[in-house]
Amino acid sequence: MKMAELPFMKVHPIYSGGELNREYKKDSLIIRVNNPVDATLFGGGNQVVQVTFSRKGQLPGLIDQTIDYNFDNHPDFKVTINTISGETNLIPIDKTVESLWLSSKVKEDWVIRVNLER
Amino acid sequence: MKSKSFYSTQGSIWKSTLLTFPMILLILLFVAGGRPDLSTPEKSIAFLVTFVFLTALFFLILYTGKTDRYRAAGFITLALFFALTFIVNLIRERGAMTFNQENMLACEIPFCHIVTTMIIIPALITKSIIFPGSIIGGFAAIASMLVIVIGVSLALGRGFCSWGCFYGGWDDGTSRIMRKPKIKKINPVFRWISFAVLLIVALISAVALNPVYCDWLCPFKTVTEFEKITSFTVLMKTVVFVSLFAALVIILPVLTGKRIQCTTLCPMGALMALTNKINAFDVRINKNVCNNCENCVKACPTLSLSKEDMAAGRPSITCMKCGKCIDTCTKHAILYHIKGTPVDRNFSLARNLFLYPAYLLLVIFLGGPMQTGIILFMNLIKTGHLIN
Repeated sequence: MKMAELPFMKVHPIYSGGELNREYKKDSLIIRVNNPVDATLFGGGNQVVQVTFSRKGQLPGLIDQTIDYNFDNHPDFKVTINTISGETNLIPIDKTVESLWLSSKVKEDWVIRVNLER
Repeated sequence: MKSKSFYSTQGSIWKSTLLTFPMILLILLFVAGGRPDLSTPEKSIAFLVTFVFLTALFFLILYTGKTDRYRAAGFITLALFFALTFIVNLIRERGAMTFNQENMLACEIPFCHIVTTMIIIPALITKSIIFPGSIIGGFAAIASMLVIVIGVSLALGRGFCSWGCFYGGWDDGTSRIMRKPKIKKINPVFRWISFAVLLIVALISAVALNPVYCDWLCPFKTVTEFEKITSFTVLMKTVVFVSLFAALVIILPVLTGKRIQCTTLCPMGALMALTNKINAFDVRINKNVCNNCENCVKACPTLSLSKEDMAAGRPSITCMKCGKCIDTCTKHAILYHIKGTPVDRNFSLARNLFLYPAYLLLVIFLGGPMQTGIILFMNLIKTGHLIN
């Protein structure tokens, strides 16, 4: 469909999760960190970052990871996810990290979105 | 002055049959893709019932000269079958009418035409769509819905709201329950509320990057899909949209005989009303024939006719082209009209030229859900279960 090729015909990154920044392996998990996306119409305000946890085979019952979302070699937040109950606990380390927005299983992966303050 | 029968659009049986023939071909094309699926008795029955129903309604519109009566039969059927098949589809795919965070994160939420009102400003600024759906492919993809909205706006203007909208049949149906409405006097100023709703939801959605009408207000989530209640906020949203459904889609239409949700809340209706300006068809009042009885004012389900509109010879921009005022007028003073042509000439041609695209829209939207719905009912009778 030609219309789908129009420049504005893409889902806003606040819903699609944004583009992948980096993918790495840690503790048998594959961790994908996307680029932070603007959470406001004109940008310049708060942002959201999406992190995806996956593993070949089933996810572990507990994911306990420290994430450096901007890859400045300083941890930004610690996240603990009970993949059975869905209970998720986020501990901000860097001052730019505000709160957990979403945490859910998506197909075979677990996805979290974290609110950031600029 | 010509006699009133001169303006009647009632057709002869031969002329009506002849004019129905092209629609039969279009029904075959759009309902069955040119080749009906008769592989099972259930599919054969579903196709035949749908085909006969759609053909008969169009023939009756032409033969009796009454538009709204038969349009409404198809339109209300569309609302009921759409809701049924949509819910059954969701239960088959997801196991529930509710969606959850996983569906949103995976961008699997079906896109409906009303969202169009909220994506325009962010699309212009961010060049992207603020909705967790899929652009192409899957159920109710964004690109295909936008193609339909743009095409229908150009062809019919706000006629979409009476011929194609798969929600409108709900309050069209409830507004017909009482023969004599309890609340008779409604100020026509209420018809402008939906424009305020459009402006507010378009701006708030752009600022919040969130389609707020879908998120908080849309009453039709009650009969389609809604967010799983996992927090107090989601509970509040549920209370709001269910209350709006009860008040604006059921109680007030029953009491007033008007399509209250479409008239006062729907932002898509307001956007479509603006497209009435760029559309070739409108409804006009032949002032040479009108006797100012105001039956049309009382009949209009969207408050689009007032004394001032009658004096101007046309309904307001909010007209949905449903044909109820035309059916009501005993003098045949209200007519479908092609802009730029004389009001008192070629009125049958103008009506027929409007009816083909308008009715085709109804056929396109109703054909699939009606066949699926009939098969579901046959399964229910055979197995005792609606969903296998």
